[in-house]
Amino acid sequence: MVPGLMEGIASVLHFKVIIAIATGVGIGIILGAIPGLTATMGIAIVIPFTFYMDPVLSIGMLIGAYKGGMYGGSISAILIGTPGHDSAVATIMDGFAMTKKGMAGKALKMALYASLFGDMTSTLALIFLAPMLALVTIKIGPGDFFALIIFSLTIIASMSGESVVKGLISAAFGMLVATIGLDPVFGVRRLTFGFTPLDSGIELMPMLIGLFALPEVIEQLENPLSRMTASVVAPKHRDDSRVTWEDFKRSIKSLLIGSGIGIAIGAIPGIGSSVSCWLAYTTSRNQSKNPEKWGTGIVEGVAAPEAGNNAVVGGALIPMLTLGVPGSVPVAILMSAFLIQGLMPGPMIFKEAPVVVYGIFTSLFMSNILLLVLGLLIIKYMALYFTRVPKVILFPTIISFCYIGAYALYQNMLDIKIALVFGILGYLMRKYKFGAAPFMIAMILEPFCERSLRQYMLMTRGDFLSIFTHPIADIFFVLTIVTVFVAIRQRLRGTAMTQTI
Amino acid sequence: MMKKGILVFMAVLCCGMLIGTNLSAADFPQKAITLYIPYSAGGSTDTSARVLASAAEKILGQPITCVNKTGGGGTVMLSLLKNQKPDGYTIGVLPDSALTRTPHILNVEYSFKDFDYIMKYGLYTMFCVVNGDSPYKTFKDFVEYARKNPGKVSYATPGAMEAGALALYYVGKIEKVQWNMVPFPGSAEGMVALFGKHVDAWSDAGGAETHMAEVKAGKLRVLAAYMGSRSPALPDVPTLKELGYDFAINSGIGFCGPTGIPKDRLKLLEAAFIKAADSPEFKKVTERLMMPTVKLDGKTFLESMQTDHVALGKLLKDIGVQKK
Repeated sequence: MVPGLMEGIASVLHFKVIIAIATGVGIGIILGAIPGLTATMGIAIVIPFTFYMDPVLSIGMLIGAYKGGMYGGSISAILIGTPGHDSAVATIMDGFAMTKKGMAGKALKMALYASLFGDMTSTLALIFLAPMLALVTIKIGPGDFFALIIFSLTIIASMSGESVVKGLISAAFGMLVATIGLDPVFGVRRLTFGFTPLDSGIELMPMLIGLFALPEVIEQLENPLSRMTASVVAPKHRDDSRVTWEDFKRSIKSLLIGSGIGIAIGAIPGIGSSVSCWLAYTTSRNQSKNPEKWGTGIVEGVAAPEAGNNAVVGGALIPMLTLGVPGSVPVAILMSAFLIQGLMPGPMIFKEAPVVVYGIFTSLFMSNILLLVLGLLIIKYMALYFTRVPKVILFPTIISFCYIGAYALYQNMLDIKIALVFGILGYLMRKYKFGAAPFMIAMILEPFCERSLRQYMLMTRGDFLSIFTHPIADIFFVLTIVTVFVAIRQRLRGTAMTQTI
Repeated sequence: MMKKGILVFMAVLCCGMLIGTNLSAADFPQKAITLYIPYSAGGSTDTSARVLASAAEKILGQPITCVNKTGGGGTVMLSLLKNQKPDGYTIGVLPDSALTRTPHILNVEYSFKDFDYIMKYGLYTMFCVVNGDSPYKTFKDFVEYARKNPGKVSYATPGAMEAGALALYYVGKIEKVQWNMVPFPGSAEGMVALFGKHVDAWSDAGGAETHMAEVKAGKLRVLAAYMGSRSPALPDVPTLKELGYDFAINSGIGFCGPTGIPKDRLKLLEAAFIKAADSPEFKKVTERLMMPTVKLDGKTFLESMQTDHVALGKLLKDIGVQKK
């Protein structure tokens, strides 16, 4: 029998541990649902309490908080079209569209189930494939990483809706905005125009809040039809609040693709769920039989990104446990919890502390179950009350919370100004049909792109062409070309995506 | 009856609120403190700082939110920190090299007078680490290998002007060897690159220290130490000085904030972190990281840095990396 496995599992099946995980999940969901308060913050708040607990309890609580936080972010993405966490942005596409059609309940539930699906598969991958996956992960060097980012950026081309040119302009603008601040290697100021608060660049969350929250509300004000309806559309059918077997069958492909992508992305240190949710969304869309329906509010459109972003959690634990390298910031915080307990993550940890490792795996499963229970409870009360609140009260409240959230991040007034500027910018972008999605992805990916390219050039003394001798990089370059072809073909056939954001 | 009930309820509520409010004499800190960390998550700076901050949180009574602001070996973070409000709510982890060494080499946007110093808690150990299955068993072997393969050997560092980068730059010049420096946000990413054989060595702090199990098992090999004397945790690893190179760097980590922090708040932070350094969690982690600890108060920290600044100016001039 695998040493430590049974004790590991047993260590988690205690009342105290279950309560700890449930508390973590609960705090996570609530914090995650408020735009501006991220899952990372939730973890940071929970950490001090974990000192007084033993490792299994504390790590369980942290894992619960992180998973809860990610789901909470999806709740606000679906209900108000503003992501509560950057991992939930792709969920807005179909999730918010579904709310507008009165199917908020269905969207929320599918998000929950898809998140669970992603979680379960990535936890299984972690348990059975971790050492193997780690071996593959370390093979990815700066050159391969650069190719991967280029591939991710071309996904933008296939997301641009009507005009590829406009999509590219949005993306280029996104990359430009990302360079604002001090350069990562030498600290040289770029595009700050001497305005020193901009040295750290544009913070992502306030920008997202501005880009998504304000334009939506302004549009609602502009539209005379929606002004007449007192409250958000209520479900018409009983089925609009449930996920039916039909829905599930349709979404299987998206769930599998999303999970696979999430695990892969999570296993690569540095990138995170904000990228995987988009990759999951667009890849599933490209693989589906009806790509033109995506963006109008179909349930697969929620399943894909939700599976994608949750699968990252398990994926990110792989490099952390096997190589001692955190795959994302929340995992880094988890790692410091390990270290406090005197455990050193790395290839040796399976030998040094198998009980703790298997305990963690069990906590992961347990938090999935608790997320399901708590999630369904919250949906029951949330979706119900949400549609009953008159818009007059709802929208101002939402906007207030969003902007408070932007400030709450670092208690920095600049973030509110950023949220306002991008709010107006976002509105103009919508009006003239420049996608916010390409802008956002480009902005998230730019630092990785720049860093890996610069590293590769330093490693090879400027010999860029040698990148094609790297097999993994070649794979991604080929995928890039394929994506471009598919995008062009879709446009020619008229099956391109409907542009909603 | 009802009215009385409401009155009692209100009275209890008011009492509860009064008890809840912070009645301590010092009204700092009232909210969370932000701590900038100049290296990426998972390395020795980040890990030690986070753990020390968690211990200090309990003493201060408010959370400390850690934010990684990487780049330039601390220059990015310090340029940022310099312009934050000096109210004690934004502080940073200071790798003293960013003040004592880097300004000699690069034009930076800050200087000693831009900060208030809180305390110093640790000393860096820096090593040249290679994979266990690599053909070079000693530092001399490594240099020879690089000499035979000009332009093909690369080493990972946390930044262009870090100790690790300078050390191998210096050796490269003396030995007339051409090798490539590749910057990473921190030792975590750099070590992955080493494990994946994308670079041939990790040069600086955090590599060997966060992977002692692998070093002991022979999966990693430590070729040289860059400090003035050998590390007690790795007594068999020679220093560059012992290997015949006139190069040694002693640097460490502490905390600082933008200049202008009210004296009482500064003192409070100083006391809190110094006390936190005694906590068992911190001791455990620094042991694990092989990080020698110190406890210097703000004033002593500043004085020691100013001395080092002068000494390093001379060393760097000799090496030839002084900025023009």
